Parts: sequence; C-alpha cells; structure tokens
Amino acid sequence: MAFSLRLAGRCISGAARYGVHPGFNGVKTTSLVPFCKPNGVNIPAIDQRRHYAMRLELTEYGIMWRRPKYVPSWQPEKSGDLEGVKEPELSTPNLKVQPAKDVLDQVDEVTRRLLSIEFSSHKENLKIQRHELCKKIQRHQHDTGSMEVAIAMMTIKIRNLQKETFKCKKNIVQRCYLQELIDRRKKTLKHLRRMDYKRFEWLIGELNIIFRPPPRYYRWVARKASLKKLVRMRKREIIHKKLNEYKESLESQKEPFLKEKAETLKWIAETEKSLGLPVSVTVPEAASSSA
Amino acid sequence: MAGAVARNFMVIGQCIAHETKNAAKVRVKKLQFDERLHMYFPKHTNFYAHDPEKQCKVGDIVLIQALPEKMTRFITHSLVKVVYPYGDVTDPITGKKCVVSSYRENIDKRNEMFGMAEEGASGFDYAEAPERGWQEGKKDFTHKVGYKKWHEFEPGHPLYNDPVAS
Repeated sequence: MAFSLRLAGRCISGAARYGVHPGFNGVKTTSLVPFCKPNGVNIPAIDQRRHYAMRLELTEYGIMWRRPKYVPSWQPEKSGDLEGVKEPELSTPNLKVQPAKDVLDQVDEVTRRLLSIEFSSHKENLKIQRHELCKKIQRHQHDTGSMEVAIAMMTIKIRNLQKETFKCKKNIVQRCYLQELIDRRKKTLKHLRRMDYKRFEWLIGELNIIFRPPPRYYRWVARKASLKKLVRMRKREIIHKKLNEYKESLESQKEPFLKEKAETLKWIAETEKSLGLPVSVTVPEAASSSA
Repeated sequence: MAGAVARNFMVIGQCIAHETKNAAKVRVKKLQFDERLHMYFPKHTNFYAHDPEKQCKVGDIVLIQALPEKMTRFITHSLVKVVYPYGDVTDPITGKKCVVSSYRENIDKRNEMFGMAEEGASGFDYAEAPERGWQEGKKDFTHKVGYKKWHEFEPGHPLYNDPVAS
C-alpha cells in the first residue's frame, strides 16, 4: 500500500510538472488527468482542481463562491488591449523602397512582389505597422517622440509580443519585457491623462485600449471575505425586494382608501347640511363632481 | 478637530472616485506638524461635497465650503466651484489654455511649423474635440472605484465581466 501511495504521489507531481500549466493557485480548470500508469500501477483519476469547503448553510440558499480564473497580467484581457495585431497587406512594399513609389509602379509584377513584405522578415512587417499607426497618431510629420506616439509604438510592440507569448510561454525574458512594456504604457497613459485629458480620450479610442483604475486596495482574494460580500449582496437584494413589495401593496390600497374617504366626507357634509349646521369638512372635487 | 470658525473656511482639494449619489468625494491635503521630530508630514482628509448636477469629475481640483449643518450622514460640504478641471488647465494669469508648462497655442504653432505629413493627418484637434467624458464607461473607467476581481459572476449579473475589476 505504501509503495503504491508513494508511486501515486510521484505520479501526481509528474502530472503537475508535465501537464497543462495549472496557473497561479492551481485554479485553472485543467482537464482531469484520466489515468496514471507509472510502472504498471493503476490509480483512479485525480482531480487536480483546487476545491474549497463551502459553508453549507450558505450553499442551501444558493450562495456559492467561485474563485476567479487566474489570468496572467501580460494577457490582453489584463493589459486592456481590445484588438490584436493589425497585419498589413502582403502586397505592401517595404518601407525602404516606399519613397521610390514612381519607379516601383513601373517595374514588373515579380519584382514588386519580391520587394513587398511577403518576402521580407518580420522586422519589415513591424516597420510597416509602426509607420502606418504613426501616421495616424503623430502631431506633425517628424513627430516620433510625443507621448501619444510613444504609447502607440509600445502598443504595437505589446500586441506582437502577446501573440508570440501565446505561442511560447517559456520565453521568460520576452515575457518579462512584455510585462515591463505594458506597465510603462500604463504609466505613460496615466501621465497623458493628467496632462491632456481630451487627447488621452481620443488616443484610447484610436488604439482601442481599456484604461481602468488601479484597485483601491490590494488584498488576497479569500473565500471568507468573498462569501461575506456575496451574503451582503443577497441581503440587499432581499431588502429591496421586500420594500418594493410593501410599496406596491400600499399603492394598491391607496385608491380604495381615497374613494372611501371621499364618500365619507360627502356623507358628513350632506348630513351637516341637512341638520342646518355649518359644513366643517371640505369635500374633494372629484367626489363632488361625480355626485 | 477644527473649531467652529475654521469650519466656515473654504478648502481646496481633489475629487476622487466614489460611489455616493449626489455628492463628490474630495480629498483635502494638508501638512501636519510633528512636535517630536519638528517635521511636517502629509496628511489627507476626505470630505463629501453636495453636487447633484455632477459638475466635478474625478481628478478635478475643486473648492468646497462647509455647510452650516450636515446634509446627510456623509455630506458635510457644498461645492463652490471647479478650479482646475483635470487635464484641461487654464492658466489663471493669462487666461490661456496650457499643457503642463507650455501654452496650447505655442504647441500648435510648433506643430504647424513642422508641417503635417502628406498622407497622414493627426486626427486630434483640441478645438473640435468633444468634452471630457465621451469615453466614460466605454474605454475609460477611472470614474469608478477599482477593485480586484473576487468572484466569477454568472452571465446576466451586472458585475459579470466587469471592466472595472482588474
């Protein structure tokens, strides 16, 4: 028994090592490891997900906490990029030959194709991307250093690196560089917002970036605190529901009551009139007109 | 605690994001003297200023004044005026618009001297740009209090995939 257990433990660590990256806190919903077969020992399927003991009295009321899925901060979801890389057309000529546009139009098809980015390195492609975005953003024709151009250039780098990092997550140097770029862009956006709000709004619209405020507090996402919040939200829901119901019931009582009141007042006024006394009540107009 | 006289003074502070209705949360900074160290340390106090028309936006420098008595449990001040809108400052001496240390007109002149590129034209023009707030709730979420994502809400819930959460 001890032998098999030891093997099982080894198997688990092995699966963790070679399986899909489980993510921070091991939260990512990895597929269940169907079967482990180290040296011919069969052990049942192991659920690698982390489970949390929920408070049963809350689960009865449908209050269940689900830990948010871990998303690495370099991913577009977190960095705020709403769109990916804008690939230029393959027939676009290289940036180097673009000044000689007149000559380029005269040469034959094959030469033009050879001078296009279809047969160039990724670097040339990037240059075209940069050039095209720069033209849209820049303040004047020689502007390469203004804040918005810097942000746009960083955005191009970030989106290309994100594409690469999705392919190979083990290139840690690249991933760190990407993270640094994202942080720098965020900081630059923050400064631009402080200096020139209108330009900032225009720029995030142009580049399709979400700018969200930093969390007011950095705290661990914990089961206890989250459940507390959920319970509080449920409580508020119930209070609002009950108050609204009560309000509705009062509203529905209003009409019959007013009717009754009008009738009673009318009766009082009539009685007083018949007895020859001064009328001490004012009959509402609706009741008097209907009478 | 400030005395009764001091309460009538107007204070200047910066608006911060908040969730109260009909009010702006204003952070007033001051320096507090430490007797023991003979040094000043920065301190801040938050006030809620009555602002039903939502004149102040997050980041604005505003002037507020204490109300003779509390309006609600939180609202103790009234808004006098917005002194400097955030990121859209007018120089108080010359009355010209400025960006940090230079006037907008000087920046525009400089850009004109360099000249626009042939194909490209900068899409941004300050004179024609819409008022601040057109990206609010679309791409700019700084008007809300940021928080860390703490729960996977079900689709249909208002907090499902909340863009404010990071």
